[in-house]
Amino acid sequence: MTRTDWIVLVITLACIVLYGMYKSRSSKDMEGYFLSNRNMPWWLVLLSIMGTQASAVTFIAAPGQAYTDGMRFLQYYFGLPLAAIVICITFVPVFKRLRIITAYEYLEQRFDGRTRTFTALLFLLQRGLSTGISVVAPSIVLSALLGWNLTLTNLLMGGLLIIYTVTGGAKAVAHTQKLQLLIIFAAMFIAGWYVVHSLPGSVGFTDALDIGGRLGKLNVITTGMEGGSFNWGDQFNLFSGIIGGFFLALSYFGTDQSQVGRYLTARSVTESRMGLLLNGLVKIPMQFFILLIGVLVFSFYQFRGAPVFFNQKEIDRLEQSVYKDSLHQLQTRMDHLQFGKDIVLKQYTEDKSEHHLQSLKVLQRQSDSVRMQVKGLVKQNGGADKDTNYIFMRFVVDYLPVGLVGLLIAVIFLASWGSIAAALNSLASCTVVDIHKRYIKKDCTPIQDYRAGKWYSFAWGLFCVIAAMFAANIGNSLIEAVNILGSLFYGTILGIFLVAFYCKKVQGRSVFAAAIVIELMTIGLFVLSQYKVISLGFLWLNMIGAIGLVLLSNLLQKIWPEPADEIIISGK
Amino acid sequence: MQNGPEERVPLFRSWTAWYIIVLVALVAMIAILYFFTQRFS
Repeated sequence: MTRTDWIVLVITLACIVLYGMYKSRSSKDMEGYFLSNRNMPWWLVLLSIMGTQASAVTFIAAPGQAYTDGMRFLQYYFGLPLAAIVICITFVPVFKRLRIITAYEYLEQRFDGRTRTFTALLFLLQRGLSTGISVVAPSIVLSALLGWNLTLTNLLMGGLLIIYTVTGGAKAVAHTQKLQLLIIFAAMFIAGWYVVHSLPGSVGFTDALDIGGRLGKLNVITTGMEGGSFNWGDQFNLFSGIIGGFFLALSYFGTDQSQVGRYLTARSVTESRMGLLLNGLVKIPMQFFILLIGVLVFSFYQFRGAPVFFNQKEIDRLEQSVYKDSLHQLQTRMDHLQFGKDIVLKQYTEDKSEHHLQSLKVLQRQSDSVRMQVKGLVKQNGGADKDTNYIFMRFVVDYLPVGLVGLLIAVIFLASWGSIAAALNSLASCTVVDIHKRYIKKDCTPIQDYRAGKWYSFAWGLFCVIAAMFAANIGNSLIEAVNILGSLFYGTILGIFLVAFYCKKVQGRSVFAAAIVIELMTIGLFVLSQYKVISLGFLWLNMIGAIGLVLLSNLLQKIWPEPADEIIISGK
Repeated sequence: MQNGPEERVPLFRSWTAWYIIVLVALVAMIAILYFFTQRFS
């Protein structure tokens, strides 16, 4: 990085931290600290929801995903608007009417204390681990690309935001997310424009789309049908996106405190609903734009020649290994293929003929084959053989002009901070409200609650940075594992809330027993799919868990009804 | 859809209109993306 890039990076990050501290003034009680006194307008709620959902991985991995697998990942978000409607109708009015701070408080009022605690613990486990990974995932990419020290990068990624998150709580989180999103969108738009600008003179935006599309990268809508039957193992298609994505979004926005805490900051039910519904509307176009950048980068590399592997650190390791000669042979092969591509692309952009398109497809398949062989070498050498997360940032570092590189790296930090700050705020609110005030110190003054909130925010920040340090040693495989971890717990948590809202006859004992059984079943299904005994995409686990819990708890309620005295004891 | 006395629905008389708009927008987006896929594949 040049000095100018460093200046841009440091100024951008410093501005966010200072702005967060400036916006830190809130009343010194739990409502002020965790929910900004419930006085946020809808547009700030909307930006806060978006800023929480869009992590650094969104901006690092999504363009890489489009580059390797095409844009079909977009279908993952099709269930979101449907989930937003259900949450607006059912969840929001109840949460707002009860004036709860965490979603799990409602479960004690509806069922009992143990169901509340069990659900809160599932949330803390899942969100705590995934936030640690949110710190380390972008740090690994940036440290590999820029040669930064990973420990220091982790500290910057997960440490600086603690300053304003601890001092300002939900108010500082929401206001910084507003500024962060503004910078992120501006920088991504400039990056997208620059990719098109960097294409050869005769190649325009529609040509780049045409090349990306003909080579299979604009596959936005896919059905998952293979050989006349539906492939249940296919992760992203129209049906898994609408149905599986609906259950995932319902869990995330309806029961995950990191999102519930955002729309509970709204000043009214109307403002909460507007924030949620508009997020449902804008998320798909926003994600489409980010994925499209990945396709444009793919088209760009058709002309400029892509690296055989985007993580240069692994290539450097191969150069020092016994696989050095094999690597050189594959690199020479890739150079020859690129030479062929240059000729065919020139002809194809002039005449758009089917003949040249077929030649281009053959050359692309051969290039993919070379990349696969290099990945095989990386794996044999003991390295991480997936380079999807490196594709976009490698392009940024290699081809974007001075200044813009610093800005795009700042974008990664800001996106990371936005989601981590909201996660820390929610982890702290859940710990204080659902654990500390129930089991450790029940009678606290407002100022003691406020101080506990600050300490727990700090403690969770520290936990996430430390978790990131450990996760860094394990590498990329853990990042994927923890993404799937969400699906292991979300189905159960959502099922508990669905029973609470829609099955009025079901009592605490039935739902608690069903929750334990379904959680074990979900983990069992996941293990079976990992060992290839069954073929099941992880998105389906949310649906199976939620529906399974609703059915089982109703069945248990019928055959094992709760004695009347237990209902009285549990506070109903 | 029942609205509380203090809750005025922006632009429309009820929230149902908002939900229908979101549904229609989702269907329209999927249709546009389908044609986009067909156009460039």
